[in-house]
Amino acid sequence: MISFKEFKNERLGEKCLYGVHSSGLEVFLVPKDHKKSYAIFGTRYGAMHRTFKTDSDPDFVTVPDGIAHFLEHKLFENEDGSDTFSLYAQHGANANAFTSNELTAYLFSATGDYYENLEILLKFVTSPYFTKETVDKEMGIIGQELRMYLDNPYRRLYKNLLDALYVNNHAKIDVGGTEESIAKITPEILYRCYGTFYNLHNMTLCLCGSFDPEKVSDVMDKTLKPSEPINITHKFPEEPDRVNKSVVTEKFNIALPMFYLGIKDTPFSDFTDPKAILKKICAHDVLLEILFGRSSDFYNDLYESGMINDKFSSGYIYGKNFSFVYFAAETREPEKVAAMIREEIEKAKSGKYGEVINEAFERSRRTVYADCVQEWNSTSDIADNILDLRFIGADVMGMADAAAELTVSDVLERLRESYDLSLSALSIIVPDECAESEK
Amino acid sequence: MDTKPRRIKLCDDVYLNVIRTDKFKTNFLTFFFLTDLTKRSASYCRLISRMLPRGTAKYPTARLLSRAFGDCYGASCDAFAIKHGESQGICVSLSTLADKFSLDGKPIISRAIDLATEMIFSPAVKDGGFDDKVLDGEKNNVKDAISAEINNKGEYARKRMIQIMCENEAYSVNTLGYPDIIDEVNGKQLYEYYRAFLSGARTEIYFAGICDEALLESKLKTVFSSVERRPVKMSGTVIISDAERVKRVTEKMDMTQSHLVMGFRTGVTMDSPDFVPFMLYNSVLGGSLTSKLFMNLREKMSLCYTVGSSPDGSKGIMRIYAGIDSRNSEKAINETFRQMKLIEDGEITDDEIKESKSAIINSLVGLGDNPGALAGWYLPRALCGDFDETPETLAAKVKALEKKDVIACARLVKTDTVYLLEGNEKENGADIETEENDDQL
Repeated sequence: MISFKEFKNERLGEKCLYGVHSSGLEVFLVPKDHKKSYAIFGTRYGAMHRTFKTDSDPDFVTVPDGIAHFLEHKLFENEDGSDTFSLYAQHGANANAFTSNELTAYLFSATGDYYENLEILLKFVTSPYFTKETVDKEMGIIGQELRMYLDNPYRRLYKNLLDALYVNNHAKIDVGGTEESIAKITPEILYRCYGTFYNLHNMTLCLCGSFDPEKVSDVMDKTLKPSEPINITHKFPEEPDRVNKSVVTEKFNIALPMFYLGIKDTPFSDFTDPKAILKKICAHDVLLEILFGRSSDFYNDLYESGMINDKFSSGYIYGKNFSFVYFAAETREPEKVAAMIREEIEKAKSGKYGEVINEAFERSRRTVYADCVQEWNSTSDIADNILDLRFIGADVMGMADAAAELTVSDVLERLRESYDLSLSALSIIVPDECAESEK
Repeated sequence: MDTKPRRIKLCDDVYLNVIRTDKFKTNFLTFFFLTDLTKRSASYCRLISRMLPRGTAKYPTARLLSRAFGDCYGASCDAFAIKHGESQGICVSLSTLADKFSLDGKPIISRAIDLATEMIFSPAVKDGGFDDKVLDGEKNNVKDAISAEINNKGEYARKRMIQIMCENEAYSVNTLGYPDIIDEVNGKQLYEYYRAFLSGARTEIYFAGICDEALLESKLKTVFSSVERRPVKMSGTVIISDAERVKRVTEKMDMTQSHLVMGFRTGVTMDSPDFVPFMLYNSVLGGSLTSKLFMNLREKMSLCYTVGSSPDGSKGIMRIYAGIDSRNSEKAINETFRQMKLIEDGEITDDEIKESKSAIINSLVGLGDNPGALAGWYLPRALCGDFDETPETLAAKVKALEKKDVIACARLVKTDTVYLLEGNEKENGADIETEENDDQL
């Protein structure tokens, strides 16, 4: 049984129901009159949870890198030999799953048979079945997935950036692991990870679309067994106040050099006020829009001079245990463009851009605000955002309000506190010479 | 919501299609301008699509124009080159926040329409043409993008297969453009081409959202009155239904994974009677996560992570793609043919039919949630003169299909090209070797 509480947002004209099922699983439900309904079922378990224990475990265990992602693949297999995708397909659902640094999630979208599909989702995620044979078989598929990523320059840039920014932080662990690390995975370790992180108290279900709260409650009653309350302790290494490497350069089979520049920021693990989280995210977005967005002098000056092209972008990436600002560009002069970005930040911090910031603030705030409102166009965006923000301790319902209420001083505060260039690192990839001489 | 657009003729060969819906927090306005696909038209349209955001008569630089869009709640207005069969052109796509979310109560859409139409109809002009200095910058960007095609190996392999399969057909023209053609054109010539293009191109405009429709219509009629319309009839796409011999081509590149792309002639186009059954054929073969290719090449044989088939109804072809280890290429090719033969022999379960139908219907019905995708769905149908089909009517036709319809499709599929872009861990360099092999498979 669940009793739902209703939360409304006047500005958006949206409401969200929230409740905790007797099994321990919490549920968010946003009613929407769309054709597609969408469900996402996530656990607070990702690639960075390498060393952990529960209160009933005597000792910490350290598991092979890439196991959260491997486990995600394996859950699709069922003891009776049925294939989860086929079960969904019988009811017209489109299903998928993904793993990131801090979460694993299983999802489907469907234009009918909502409760049948929800039942499939809840059942297969709560019914693990691993044997040596099925584990070995998966090595080949995931091996191909990892090889596909090895050929992807953006993925390589990103991996190298995390490795440069962080000395110890587990954010630098590659989500897929390596072919060597996943070779160490056994059914026993999979069951240990499963038993720890797939406890329903550690999970969240987000639904958006034509779901009826009572019927949802019925499906949960029928499929979920109560989980014992659990307390998971993680061992995260201390992260020093410096970067691991200031520059990482690698050769790759590409046409033009590219880079990611990152600036380490503090994570959200210490935040207790959900509104402060949203404010910080919006302030980053507005600040980056003012200084480096499509309307900024920086972007336009460099674009006109031919130093950057329209692939240039910037943003704020965050999780509960890590966060950083990034800049990405494709350019013949990666070091020079990165230096100019740093210079621009220095200038802004020294107060030289007071006028610029005042002039561009309203335009940039509107742009960020519009982005937050537009997120409510699609049932999948809505539910995904609820889950993402829930896992860092914030509430997506307040996002558009946070953007609308942002002030210039919020943006200036962000600039002062989060843009410490001594915590910045640069990841570059350059065309490998053979590829160059070919042209 | 009924997604069937209301169709309004604005002028000769120019139509506005309005899908009224208050389901979204945004309004969408998309312009499609189409003409025949040639190396020259593709190169020019690609350059023009990059010149339009660089400024208008009123906002002569990209900086000023993007600030104007920014003031309009970050309205995004993108121009890009598009391809449909053997026609191509320019798409300009505007997305704005709906008026009711305006923070100061001032309307957004009407102002955004003005900006978008200004971008299309009054681009910044210097001495009767596009500014050569600005154009030079964009020429470099386009040429860089052409050489950056190798960055995405899978996509590159898919394009190469088409170039080999349709070597002497317009369909193989690369819409990224051609460096030699790009180098030769100057700002004045390109601008003159653009004026003629605007006057001759088949034009379809889609609006999805809520606005004053009479105002939208009158604004568009006004801007089109500045263009002297002389519609040029498009040549249409050459459809080849047979493959004389199978082309087998292997090329090498320095990368970890190998990419297998197979090309087939089907002759099944959007207006052919086999179009709907072929959707189901494709779904059973490789169009979904329960398809024969996915279940066998990936789940049973662990040969790949990505595998799938996709038909192109604008040209009457089908493509199969798999990311594999090069040592498994023959295995993957043979298994693909084996699965196709199974369909031909009727080895299809009722579950496979049911699951594939559900998958297609689910995605068709779901289109109503994505106004941007709806425009892309209706456009090709408008181009072949079909104004009645909606995702819902098509879904009903899919529902009525039977196993025999899928089996009947198998005979339409003729293998044309088997292309392998082979990774090589030992050698360095992107040296591309071509070896042609004319063996019949």
